[in-house]
Amino acid sequence: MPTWTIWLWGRRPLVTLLRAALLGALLYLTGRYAFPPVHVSGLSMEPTIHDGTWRIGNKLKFQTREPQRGDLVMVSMAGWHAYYLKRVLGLPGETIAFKNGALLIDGRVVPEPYLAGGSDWTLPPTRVPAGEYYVAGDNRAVPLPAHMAGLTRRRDIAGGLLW
Amino acid sequence: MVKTWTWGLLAAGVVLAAAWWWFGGDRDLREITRQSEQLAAALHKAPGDGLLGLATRSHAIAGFFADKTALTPGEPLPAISSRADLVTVVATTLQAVSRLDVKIIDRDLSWVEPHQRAAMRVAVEVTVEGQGEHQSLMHTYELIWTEENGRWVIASAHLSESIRRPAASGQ
Repeated sequence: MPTWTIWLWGRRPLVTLLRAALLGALLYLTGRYAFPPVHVSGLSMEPTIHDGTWRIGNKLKFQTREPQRGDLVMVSMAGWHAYYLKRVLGLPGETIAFKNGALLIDGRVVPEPYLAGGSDWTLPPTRVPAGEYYVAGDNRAVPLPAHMAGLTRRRDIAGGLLW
Repeated sequence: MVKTWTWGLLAAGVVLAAAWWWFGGDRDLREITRQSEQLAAALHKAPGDGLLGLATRSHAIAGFFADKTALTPGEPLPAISSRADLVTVVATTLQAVSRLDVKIIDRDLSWVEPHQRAAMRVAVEVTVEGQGEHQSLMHTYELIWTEENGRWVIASAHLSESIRRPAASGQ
């Protein structure tokens, strides 16, 4: 057998092919069901997560615990390649509001150390229904009406971020 | 010899499974997927596209939809209930923007009634330029595809975001 063929296929080509197929299947299953690579598109999570960067999702993160305030979450869109990346702000049963950019939970101001600057977001007190979460991006420079923020169902939270 | 045959059969099985996964599946669903890609491509507008071209394109885009279609594409676009109305809305929209790109990021597709009606949930990235502004937005739509005159067309399309704004009334 020529050297290049051995280099390419190994001494037992069928075994090499099978190993490659198994490795491919393992990568596919890991990427689809556990740790999907996430390509960030958009400015919604600036300055925490930058447009055009790559992250690794973690679909196992909320298998053992419920999302908490401050968690970064992947919210399903369609299929398994597309997610909104958002931060959990309001938990089920809480009342959320924004007053001149300040986050209020049940009437009390909650600090948001991950924000880069102030904002003018205003939202009247809104009850988060059972089984739902209030999520928003970190880029508060975008006016609230133009920002994809609001209520999402627990079942639409596909996971968090591994990195 | 037996070992070689065993490995050979295993490898052939893996290759066949991969080929089935990649090329197999339902022909009609593949056709619907292809139509959705063509619709996204048809919605592209580059700066400098002429009026005549846009008028032709508007009719071509409307051809992807059923004669009586029900569309709620979301603000600022109005609800649309017929192919004729759709031509007008598409033409007006294409003229109002200098650049438009619609890219399908991912989709779920399944039969509502086998080979009669299919439901597609599709995530799209819409990039719009116009009046000095540039916007890139992600949206999710629920589409129902149906066969009309031998062609798969969209009977309804509704904006269906997994993040929704709370009702204005608050508590």
